Amino acid sequence: MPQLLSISVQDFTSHQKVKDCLESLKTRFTPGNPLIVSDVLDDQGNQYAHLVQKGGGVLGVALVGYTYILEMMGIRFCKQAGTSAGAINTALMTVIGARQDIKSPGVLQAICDLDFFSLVDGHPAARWIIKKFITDEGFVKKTKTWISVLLCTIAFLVSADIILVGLQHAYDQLSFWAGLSFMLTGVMILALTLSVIYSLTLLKRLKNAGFGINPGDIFYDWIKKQFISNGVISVTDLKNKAAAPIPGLHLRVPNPENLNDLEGSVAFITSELCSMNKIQFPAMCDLFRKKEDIDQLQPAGFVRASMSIPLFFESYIINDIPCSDPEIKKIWLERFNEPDPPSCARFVDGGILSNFPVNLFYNAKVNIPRLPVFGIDLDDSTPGDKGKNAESWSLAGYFGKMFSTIQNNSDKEFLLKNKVYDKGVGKIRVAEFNWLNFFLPPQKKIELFVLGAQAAAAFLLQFDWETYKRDRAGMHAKLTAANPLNNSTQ
Amino acid sequence: MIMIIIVPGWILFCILLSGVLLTGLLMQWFGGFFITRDVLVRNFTILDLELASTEKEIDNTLKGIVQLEPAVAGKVIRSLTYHLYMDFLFMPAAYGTIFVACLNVAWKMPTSGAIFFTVMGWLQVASWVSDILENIYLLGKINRIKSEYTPSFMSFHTYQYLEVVKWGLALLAIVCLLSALMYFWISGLYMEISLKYLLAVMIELTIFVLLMKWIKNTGERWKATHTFK
Repeated sequence: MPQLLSISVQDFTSHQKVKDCLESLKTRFTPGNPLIVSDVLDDQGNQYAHLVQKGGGVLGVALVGYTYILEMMGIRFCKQAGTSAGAINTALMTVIGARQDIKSPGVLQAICDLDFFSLVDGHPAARWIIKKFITDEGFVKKTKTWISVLLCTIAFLVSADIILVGLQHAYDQLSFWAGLSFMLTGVMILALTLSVIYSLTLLKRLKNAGFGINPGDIFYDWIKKQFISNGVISVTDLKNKAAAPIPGLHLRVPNPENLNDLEGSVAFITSELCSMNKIQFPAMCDLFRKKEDIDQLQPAGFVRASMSIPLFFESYIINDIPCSDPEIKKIWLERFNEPDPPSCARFVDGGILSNFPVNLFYNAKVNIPRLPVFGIDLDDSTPGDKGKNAESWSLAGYFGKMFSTIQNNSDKEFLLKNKVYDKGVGKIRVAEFNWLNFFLPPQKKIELFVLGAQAAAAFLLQFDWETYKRDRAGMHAKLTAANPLNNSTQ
Repeated sequence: MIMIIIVPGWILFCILLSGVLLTGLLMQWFGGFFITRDVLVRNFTILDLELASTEKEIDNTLKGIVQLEPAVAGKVIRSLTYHLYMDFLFMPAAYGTIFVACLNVAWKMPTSGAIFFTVMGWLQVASWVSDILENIYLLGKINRIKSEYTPSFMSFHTYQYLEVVKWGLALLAIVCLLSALMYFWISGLYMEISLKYLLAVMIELTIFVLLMKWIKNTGERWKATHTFK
């Protein structure tokens, strides 16, 4: 297949495998046997679901493939949430167009216009190392070889210095070579010293930059531009856009809850390190600014906060929190039992606490669901994963496993306790892709998109709304019977 | 050149070196007040500006100064400006020192070595010019610190090339000089009077290190009161 230099939206959407996915769905679901995934509809017949998108770095392209198929099949989204890459897609799906519109082509356009590598906006040396580390498997070995060669050369030159200085008294002609050897030794030592100083400077920069290799400024500017070009300038704009009324929203079948609590909303999950809490933006903006000052916060910053992969990106920081204000203190106390709010909040990737916040949309007040919660899971596990062999772990592998256990625990626990939600989750298998590979060639982006589209098609073919509804109602009944006073699973 | 003819080479070297150390101390004094608010209030050094990887990095550091309390911001901007002006005095002393040392070593060398060190010495003029242009570039940015972005008289890429020329030529000359001097010392190819110059250099460096430590502590105390509040 020829290599693409740049890509257009059509390269994604007109891919034969994507077309095949749509074709298979259209063959399966006909006017006589329509696709039913929800009881909430608008006047154009679109069905509504809540949507949760998982984080996963550049694998987020696959999420767009998934939502593209859902949208093409007439599914739209009511409340949306996401973490990290999921937050980016969620943000774009929220701000682009009207709520009943198809958004995925707009998201794709934004992706096509973006050079992923530009997001790795750290020091050129760091960019080079990251690129080599991710794309060149033998990079570590090559680096070790180069260091050995450098040290051996210095050792050789120092030996030559000593030998030549000694011999030059016996052989006059050696004095030139002795001088040259001294100078070469000096140059090699300079190279080594500069490398060490440079490395130390980079480490110092890393400390000054809040332990983030890349400032994340390019991403911030990019997402801000996307927001502004879609008319979202302030937090209020974002909330309004997410909650904009949908023309002709109605229920397919009567439900005691009617359309209550079905206003649209958006949630970006991030982890705040000063107070050690999971933060949900923009809902929790009131922790950081007084109500009348909420628009001092920048909505693009919420997405930036959600995708701040620790060490890879600098933390996102909100300064000047009016922490002594009684109103702010009260909110911190009520929400986090925190009597002493910080004056400065520092955010890293929400994925370290909740990479797949599927629990957000559980509504304990609802007995029979009116719409499903759809989740898009990025599954990078491989069969026969050697990570399951505990004896083979390196130190990095050990810490990696520990981190993953903590990272996935709360989301996993929710899904285990509320298995019905699993029925709304589609898995995209992306094991052969590296989530930090910001150097993905266009062809690979299309492959990811196709994987997302195929996962969505497979999901829709097996999803049964009536079973979901029945199981969800059954779960609620069981929980209420077990604990009538506490009707929340969270 | 006239000085080189009138004053014996290594004496001139010692005089110029004392100029380097004195202006270096004053620059360190001004550098003690360098803080900015690049998201958080943090220290920076002139090297962060000189060896920035992107223009935005310089702009962020400079714009961050303005976001400090007005009195502190004023002090930092003044210190940064004085530092750069002092650098104009530092330059002739620094590149002059390397130039004189190169010519002194060249005179002791056989033909090929003499040519090499003479060329290295004269190349310091290129380093000096690069340094001057670099300072003008930074001063221009500081003057426009409160205004919207306006392009400088040269591109950031040119600025980076100038940095490579400046540091590359100066460091290469210093390393070659030290290697050659080491060679002469180890081979015993030196005159007894060299010990006096070596002693003078050692005394200058000792005084410099002691004063530098005191200045650094003063700067750090000031910074500590204005960062991480």
